[in-house]
Amino acid sequence: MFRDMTTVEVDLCVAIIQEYFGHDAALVGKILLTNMLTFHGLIMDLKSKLSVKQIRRIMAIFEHHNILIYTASERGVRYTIPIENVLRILRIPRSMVIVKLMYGKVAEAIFEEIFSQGKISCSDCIRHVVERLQCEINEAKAKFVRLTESQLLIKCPEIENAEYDCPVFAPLVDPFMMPSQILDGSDEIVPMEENLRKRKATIYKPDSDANTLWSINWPRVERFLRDELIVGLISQNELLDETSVNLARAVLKVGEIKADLIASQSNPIAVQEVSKYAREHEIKLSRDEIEQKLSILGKESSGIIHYDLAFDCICRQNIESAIREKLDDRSVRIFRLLCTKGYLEEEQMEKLAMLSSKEVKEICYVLLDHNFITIRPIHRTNDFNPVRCLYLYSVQLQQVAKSLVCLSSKALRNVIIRRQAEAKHNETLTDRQLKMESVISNIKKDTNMDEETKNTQIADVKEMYLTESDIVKLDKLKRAQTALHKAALELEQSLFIFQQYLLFKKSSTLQIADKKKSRKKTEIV
Amino acid sequence: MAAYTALKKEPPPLYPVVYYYDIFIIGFFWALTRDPLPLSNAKELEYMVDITHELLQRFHDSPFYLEKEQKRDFRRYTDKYCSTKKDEFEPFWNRIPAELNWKKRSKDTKPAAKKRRTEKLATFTEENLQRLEQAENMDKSKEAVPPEEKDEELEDEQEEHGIVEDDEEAISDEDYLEGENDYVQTYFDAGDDFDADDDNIDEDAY
Repeated sequence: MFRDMTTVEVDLCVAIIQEYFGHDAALVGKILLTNMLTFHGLIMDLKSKLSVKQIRRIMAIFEHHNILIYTASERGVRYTIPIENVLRILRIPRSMVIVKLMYGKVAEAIFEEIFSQGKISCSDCIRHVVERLQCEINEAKAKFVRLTESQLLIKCPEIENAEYDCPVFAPLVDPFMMPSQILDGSDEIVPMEENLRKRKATIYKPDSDANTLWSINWPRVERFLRDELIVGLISQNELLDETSVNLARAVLKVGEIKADLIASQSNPIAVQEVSKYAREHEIKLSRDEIEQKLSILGKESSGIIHYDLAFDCICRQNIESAIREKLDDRSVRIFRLLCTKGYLEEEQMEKLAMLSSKEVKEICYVLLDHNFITIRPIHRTNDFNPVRCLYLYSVQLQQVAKSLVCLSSKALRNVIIRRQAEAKHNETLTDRQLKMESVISNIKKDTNMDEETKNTQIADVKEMYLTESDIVKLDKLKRAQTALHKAALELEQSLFIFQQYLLFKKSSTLQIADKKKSRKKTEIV
Repeated sequence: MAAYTALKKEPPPLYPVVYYYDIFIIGFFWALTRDPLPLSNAKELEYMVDITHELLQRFHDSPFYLEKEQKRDFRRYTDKYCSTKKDEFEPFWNRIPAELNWKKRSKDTKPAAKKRRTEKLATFTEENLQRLEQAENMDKSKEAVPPEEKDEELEDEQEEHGIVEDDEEAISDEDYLEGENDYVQTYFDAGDDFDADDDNIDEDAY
């Protein structure tokens, strides 16, 4: 599990934990991200910095938010934090946008509530959402049902055995079934036995489903994100109009229901299924039209969606845009050439790209510097004479993806830290502004004065608290914060793309290895 | 390949930048060779920024976030009015391993030790009480029984008790008190016969 990590990714996760959970949590998180420890081991490491009670509390918070995982072993319970769990925090805004587009505002609020609470029962979640949005309970209920049907929310495993030190969880039987009774807790006071309590403790009647906790089903959410990326890729093709793009989305949805979550290829999808889906979701196309458009989208694929090829394409596009930003257009040309042709020499590249020899050399060396392409020396003679040596350039996409994962993690971490530093630097200014706002709102609420005096008072307050230069500074700060947030979101998108590409590649190499093994077995037999 | 070294003249120049991360730091960075592309103004992106901001605010207000305590050089008046009150975080206790439970623990050894001690103490005091009670009963039984209601058994018992008590009474310390004089009570007067038996005068005259 620790082999795929890099220090850079670990640092990024520490920065995320610090932002969302505080400085102390970051200290704990740093150790747990890189090790699998017992509780005692963790205390030994953190003896000087935190008290045992603080460590316990932080670990309980991590577990509550599905960041910490633990396994029982002979030496006791061992804890660790997988990197993926922390990076998921960054994917929330994008997934919330998708949920909003597909299911509406209330569903988005439910999703946000479940994420920010970590684990929560259905009734509590609906209550909070109704309170926050002032919407109808039935609407909230209906949206919750929709979310569970689309498998975006999943139940936490039930406890089978709570006698030992470590709880034993039962396997999930119906992970997406709604509880039969919800919201039936009330304010009735349940009478307590006399000898249990000396004081009168008021216990409210709990909900029937207080023990079934829901959390976000991340594999499914990541699937949604992937589908959006693929639709984005398809819509780049100018030959297709909007209806075709919607149809593509429909095809992806149909594929989603049938295939595994991390499958690199979906099962074959029939035209009937697509048309049935289209009818359900009011895409007004007749069957013939659907057939026609589908044939444009993919004639020979016989209904199979190739996720891995799609991601190959998306990944390549992202790398090309990175090259274009860092270097120039000619480098992109050479890169594309190498991707399509495989191994090339400098002279061959000159001819194919129609650039002069000096330019080709320059571009190749710069690309090499940035690790976008690799060089492979091939010796023609036995004595390794450099004159007789052939240098072949090529693109190893996996290597490039890995290096870009490191780069984007570093950049993301820098962005997060910079944003925090800027906010902290201007803390006094923002506090002053908050105070001013509260004073102004108090004046406005005051009913004793008329409009004019109110306005004069507000003007006075504004003048007193913030000068002209202060206002300029605050404006600049706000714009800087927005820009940094945007940069972080875009970086997160690229990180996601590269990571998914590497995942697909890894699973495909495993598949190939399995096939070879089975072939060897049959040969031996 | 060798031609590359001819192309590249020298590394790009470094620019010093002052930035603030807890303290002011001066770092040296290479300038970008090209200007970065501007960020997109897409509505979606701006909406996502709003969501992030809201989410961060939510987390900071929740009991999950702990701010680092800043040690101030001096106490301020506003300190007690500035701190915000947050709900206490209560995890689902049965879902986490028992060692993470920071509340009352029932399996500690200390209360058990105390229990043992208090038990011992209780039994000790009880024994004493019983003994005192018995002693009281004995006194009481001696006084309370009137002489008319004596049975023979009682008389015998009493005589026994009485004998014991008489003996005890007979040998009481007060009998030895002779009044106020300067003699030490522990003074031992052996008489003149102590040193008289000195047949063996083998002592060396040292």
